[in-house]
Amino acid sequence: MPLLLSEVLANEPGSVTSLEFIELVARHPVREGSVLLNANGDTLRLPESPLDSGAYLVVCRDAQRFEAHFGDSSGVWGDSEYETYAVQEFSMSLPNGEGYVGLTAGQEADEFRWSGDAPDGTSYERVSDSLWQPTESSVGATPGRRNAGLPADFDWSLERMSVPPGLLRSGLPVRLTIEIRNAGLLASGGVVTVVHQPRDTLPSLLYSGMPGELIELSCELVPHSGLNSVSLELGPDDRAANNDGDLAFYADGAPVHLSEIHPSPSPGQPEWVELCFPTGSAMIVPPLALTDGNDTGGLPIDSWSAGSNRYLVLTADSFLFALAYPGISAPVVQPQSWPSLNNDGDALELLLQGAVIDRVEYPTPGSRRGVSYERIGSSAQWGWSVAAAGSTPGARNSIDVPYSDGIQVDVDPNPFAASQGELANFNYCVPFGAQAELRLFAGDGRLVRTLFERRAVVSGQAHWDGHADNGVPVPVGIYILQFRLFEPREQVYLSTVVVAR
Amino acid sequence: MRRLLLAAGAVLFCGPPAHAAFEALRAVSTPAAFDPLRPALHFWHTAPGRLVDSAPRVHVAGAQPYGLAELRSGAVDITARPGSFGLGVSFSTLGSGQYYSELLLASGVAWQPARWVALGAVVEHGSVYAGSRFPALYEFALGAGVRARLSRRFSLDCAATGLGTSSEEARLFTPRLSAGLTFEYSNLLCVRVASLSHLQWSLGETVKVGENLALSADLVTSPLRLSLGLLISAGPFGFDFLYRDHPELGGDVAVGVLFYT
Repeated sequence: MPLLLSEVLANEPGSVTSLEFIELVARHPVREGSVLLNANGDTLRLPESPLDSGAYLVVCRDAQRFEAHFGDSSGVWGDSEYETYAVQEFSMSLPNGEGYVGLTAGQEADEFRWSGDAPDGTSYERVSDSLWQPTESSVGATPGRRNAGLPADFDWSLERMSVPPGLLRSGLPVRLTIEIRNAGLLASGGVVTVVHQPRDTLPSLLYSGMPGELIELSCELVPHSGLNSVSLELGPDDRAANNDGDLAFYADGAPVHLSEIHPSPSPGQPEWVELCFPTGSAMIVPPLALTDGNDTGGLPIDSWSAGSNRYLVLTADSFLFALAYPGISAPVVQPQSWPSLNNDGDALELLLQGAVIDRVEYPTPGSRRGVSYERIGSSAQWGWSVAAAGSTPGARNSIDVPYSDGIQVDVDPNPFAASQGELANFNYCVPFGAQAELRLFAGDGRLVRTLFERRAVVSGQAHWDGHADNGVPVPVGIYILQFRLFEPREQVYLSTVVVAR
Repeated sequence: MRRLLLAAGAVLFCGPPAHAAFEALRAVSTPAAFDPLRPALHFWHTAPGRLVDSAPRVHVAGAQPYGLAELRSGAVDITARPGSFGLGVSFSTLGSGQYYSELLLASGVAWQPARWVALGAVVEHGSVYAGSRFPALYEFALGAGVRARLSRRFSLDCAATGLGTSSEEARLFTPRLSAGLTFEYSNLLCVRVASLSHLQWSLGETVKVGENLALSADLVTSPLRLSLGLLISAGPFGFDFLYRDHPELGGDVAVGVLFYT
């Protein structure tokens, strides 16, 4: 077949009908009038003039409107760098729903049938001999150009951008990790430009690699208190659609986070999501939104009030919620739309001012009907509720203590002014069923203070006032914190604590 | 910081066992050459690997105590000829966002007025900086000690150190008292028992093997710790290594380089 179908725009943007087009590409030199086009029943002999191998021919419904939209809008086709391919006007009508386009040249034929699954203003494009799909192009169509879904020679794709999970502190550097992949057909390289808002431009990062190679880059940034956003741009390369990325995160804690979700309600219960405001106040700036991770639907929350409550419950049906959970003191809000929780996405995101400030991926509830999935304490861990009622909407979660795989200890402040009455706070996280002890040694190895001896512990906080076991203030200096875990396995964590004046 | 000052002074007369003889009396030594964080271990014994060495030299040593990545310690120790003057500087620093540094400068003089007795004095100055949130802290202390030979094989020493004050305290520190007994039964092997502060006891032994190699071992109580040292001399240079165990915090290693002047 000398001429192949390459792209079809049937579902034009809005109510416009004059932008319909069919893109053809010549595999070999094509003689004038050698191919017959069937556009959903309307036939046209192509091309008006011979085509060279690799040349594009676009058959459009209205050449003037087509030039105005996809050209430079000069009124004349072929007078700009955007108008280098052949255009042939044809009075055709391509339906938004099911449709058909065919080509015949002697005994050879090519065809494409669609069933109306391309979004408004999005063309269908051919990415292999037998595969057509809605275009990946950000502008909805690529007439006279390489299809967006085809592999490009030079194409790097941003795969992932992240900062360490957990609480980030303003002023303390964190490592930004960037994963990019060479999605092109050739070995290539480029520059990553990273901008950290509101005011930092980070050094550019260079990359290079072979086709298919995944590269991890990283750089250090210093978070500002509150909302931080990071913009990243690769390239330039042959495909711009996968070159950009944004990351938003909070330092010093987000003002709100997901606390509990109810994806598999019992009969008579609605789905609901509980939000927690750690500071106990509703000091957030809308828009706040929930979105299913794989669903296009969003849930704008423009007006609501948590008052002095720490929790806010969002539900698919507030009336049903009131019947199922009488006596809930926390405010309950029924948004105008509700993304079904128990769908194929199995993920929920909380967005504040466009930044994804929290996300939970929950497992298939299975037989756990009526049991909520809840955050364990203030950690990043989640688990199924162990409450007798199956859930705790508007109240503390049933498991309010976080657990970790190993010992995690955060000392704050460090150094600390013991002589000024300041305490060193040891925030520790331990595995479930831990037996541990927490002791402090002087620099010369002497045991100075035992905060607690071997006993069963859960994650929590201990304090040191800078005194030895005999009550005498210890001298200024470096002390060794030893957190020793006996159960469920032996582990020792050492760190330094500085006593200052 | 006070403990650093105390410990530094305490080694004023702490001639190592292998040359507890007065001829080897050292003017001053920073006990923290290997490890300023654990000066008590050096109370009567300088780092084991150094015990047989009394010649004038410059010693540079460093360690990463307890394997804590953010913690560094080190020392520069300049020893003049016995009977004259010595100078020592030791330091500890912390990184990883909890900036901290402490610096100790000690200088001292020793002399031997009679064949059976030796005297010494030390002046110490320390400073601590723990970041801009805290005022810098300065300390000053004095120390003195005496060593007496009781017989051909026994000698007794005692010292009072750390008599001083700091910029944050109106009163004087309580001096730290210590005493030790050294028994030499040959020129190659020497055993020493010393009482340290905090009711600690120490037992040490040093063996010199040939002209270029020395081995040493120490036991210190509260907690019971074992130290093993090694010194290798090569021309004007010496290299020493120290392994020190701790029942709770684990063992670690310090290394040093000496240059004999």
